[in-house]
Amino acid sequence: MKTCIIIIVLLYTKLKIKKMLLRKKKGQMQMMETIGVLFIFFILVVFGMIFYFKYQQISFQEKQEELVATRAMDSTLIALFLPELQCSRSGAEAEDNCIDISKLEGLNSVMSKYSNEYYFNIFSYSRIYVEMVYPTNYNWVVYDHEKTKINDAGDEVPDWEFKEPTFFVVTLRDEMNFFGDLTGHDSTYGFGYLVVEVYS
Amino acid sequence: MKFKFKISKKAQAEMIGLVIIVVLISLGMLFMAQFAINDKPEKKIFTRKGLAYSTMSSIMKTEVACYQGGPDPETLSIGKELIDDCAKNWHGATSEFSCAESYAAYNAGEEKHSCEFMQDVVLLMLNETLGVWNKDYQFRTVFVTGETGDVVVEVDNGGCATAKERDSSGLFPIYVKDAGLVENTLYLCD
Repeated sequence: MKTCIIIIVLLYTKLKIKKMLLRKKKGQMQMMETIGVLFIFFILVVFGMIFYFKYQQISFQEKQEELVATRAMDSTLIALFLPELQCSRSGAEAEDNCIDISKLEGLNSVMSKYSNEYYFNIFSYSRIYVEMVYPTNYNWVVYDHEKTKINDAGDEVPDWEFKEPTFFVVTLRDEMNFFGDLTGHDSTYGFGYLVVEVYS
Repeated sequence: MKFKFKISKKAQAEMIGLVIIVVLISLGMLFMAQFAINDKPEKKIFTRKGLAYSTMSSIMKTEVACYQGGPDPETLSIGKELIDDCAKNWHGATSEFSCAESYAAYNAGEEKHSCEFMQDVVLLMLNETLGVWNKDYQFRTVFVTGETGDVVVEVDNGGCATAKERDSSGLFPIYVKDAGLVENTLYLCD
């Protein structure tokens, strides 16, 4: 009888242990599943963060480029309507998209005198030049103020990341026979373009 | 039966989760696509339109040297004398102005009809500006007859005629006495 009871107890204990082991295994499985889900979730979060920061970085850079482009556009419009360059005749309205070559020729001395103060406040760090295409190739530098710095070796080096050029086609009016001296024939209106390069 | 119902409910819940994830990803994609498509179009259009207009107005004002009959060239304005002559004589083999680009070309007998001469000069100007800046363009001078028109001068570097994103300088109409109306347009695209 005693032996029978012991056997029954043993069998019961074995069954219970088996049940417990099974439950433990199920719990382990669930735990693994939870860990897996959390792992994937965190990977997704990390990817999201990387993507977000990368996007922010690019968007910041784009914003900066956009600002430079806007400044280039503004500078171009100012340069196009600059009385020091625009074609005019006494009290008459100034001509659109036209640069007077006699003014352009005389601007050098004015620029060298006021380039650091008056014109710097208008154009800041930029380079403005006029290229003639017809009747012949020729160019004039109107304003040149490159952003530079002194490096460790004591040399002056460029200190800008972007350079945004803006082009505008213009007519070049010559009433001083400048074309005649260059090409041998007189014409009043030549063809060229104005370039404004803005440094940032 | 109860067990089966439980499984079905769990599967439904997982399906809803999956759908939510798909919807979120789709929304993200749409958001990104919107940013990618709207790539500062306003500024581009403004610059292109302004450039097209300034180029056209400058071409019309420019004066060119026409060598015909000697070493001293005649100065012709593209928007006045040259277009006038071209509009009057575009259907004929000869024109009033038969121009050569240089005295050497004149000596070599390379005088051209005013329409052809204008086409070459405009091509040179556009190539040295818009062409150098990698922009596609199409310049057209159309002699308006009734509802349709005849193209008398065309300069096209390809790609602009069928381009979706293009801007025009606007019509530059010129009335030519004893001939009719001539419309000049420059199309510009990136």
